[in-house]
Amino acid sequence: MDCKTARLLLELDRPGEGELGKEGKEALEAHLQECHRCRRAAEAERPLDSGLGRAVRAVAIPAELPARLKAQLGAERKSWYRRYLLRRGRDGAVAAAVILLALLGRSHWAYAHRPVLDIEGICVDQSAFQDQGPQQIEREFADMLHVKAFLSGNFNYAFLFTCSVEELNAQRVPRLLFKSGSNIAEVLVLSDDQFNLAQSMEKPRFGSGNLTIELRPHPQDPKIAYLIIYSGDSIDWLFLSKPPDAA
Amino acid sequence: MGFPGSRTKVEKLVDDHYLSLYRYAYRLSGSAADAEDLTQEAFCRAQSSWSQLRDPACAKPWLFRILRNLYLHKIRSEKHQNCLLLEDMSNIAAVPERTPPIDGEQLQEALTELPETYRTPLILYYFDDFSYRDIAEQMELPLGTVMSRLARGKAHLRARLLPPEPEPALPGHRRTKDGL
Repeated sequence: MDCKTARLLLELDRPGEGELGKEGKEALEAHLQECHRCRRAAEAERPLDSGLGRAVRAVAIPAELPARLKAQLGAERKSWYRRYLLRRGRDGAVAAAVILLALLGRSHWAYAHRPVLDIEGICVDQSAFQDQGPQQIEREFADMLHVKAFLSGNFNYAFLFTCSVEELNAQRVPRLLFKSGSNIAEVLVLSDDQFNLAQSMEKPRFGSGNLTIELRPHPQDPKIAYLIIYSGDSIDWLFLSKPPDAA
Repeated sequence: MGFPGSRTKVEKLVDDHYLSLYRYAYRLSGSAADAEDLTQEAFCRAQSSWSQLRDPACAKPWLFRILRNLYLHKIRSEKHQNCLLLEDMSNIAAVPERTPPIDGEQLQEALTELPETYRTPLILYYFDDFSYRDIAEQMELPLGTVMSRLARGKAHLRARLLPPEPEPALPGHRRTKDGL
């Protein structure tokens, strides 16, 4: 190692292995052993450097500094959480206001768009299916009331008074009102897609006051049944096989 | 911005690093009041940016970087900085045979005279915990630049703090408004 390199390494040298590494340190020390001038320079440089280091690190620490730092940090933390809660509260209030406005808007829109009654579509009276069979009446249901009605050919449609659509257990079902003299029978056409007909069919006929309710199956299609609510003691008049006396 | 660090963690950070951070702040600013403010602000910034500290082992350089940025921001806003011409300083500062005691106030004056870009590597260098590479990372500078600034900074300290040798005569430092 030459003196120029040694002086440069001396400049970089620090206590311990430092930046020079073990090999660099050993090479420098070997040179210092041999070179009197560089050794004198090192003997002057090193104490000066360590003296400067001690002096730079010798800073008086104010009393109670950590306690003051921690107190201030605690106050900052509390302030952060206060601001955070305020911000969240403000965001929540804004969100609630937006939701409220949306609900009010929706409610206003729904009010403004209330449906206009289609009086003609509510029911169809007997004149529309005078002397018509079940197929024509099914078509009337589809065209005018927009529901499918599977009708039995056993009903005596000569007594049909009106047709309409009824809501039963949240299902839209075709409704036929038959009238013969003082006897009235209301027939609701039920489908297996809408109701569990097999289990419903097990229930017995039910009478309440002057009204009787019973469920009868479609003569050919097990997936269709008729809920019949009628007045009087018998419903035979409703079926073709036993024409009613009053008719 | 994420949640602040928990009280326990932040207080441990204070206990572990307040000494070195305050000393660094003092040597940078040259004033006990400024040093305490900077230290306080650095810990507050660390607490509020806790999520940025991914590796607790890197807490010290992280804190030092925060403090230095705060200090730089402060001196920029105050628009004052001592500027000293350090060209060729490394060649003119001879090392005396015996090391005289170093006066703390004089040392601080000599440090304060240095531009921050020279003062910071010197302080970090004398704190022992920072390698040249750490200092370069801290200052985002090439290693060679750090070494050259260190050499010039040390030469300046020698020139300011040590009595002039009779032969050769040491020229005094001079100030300039144009910087380095």
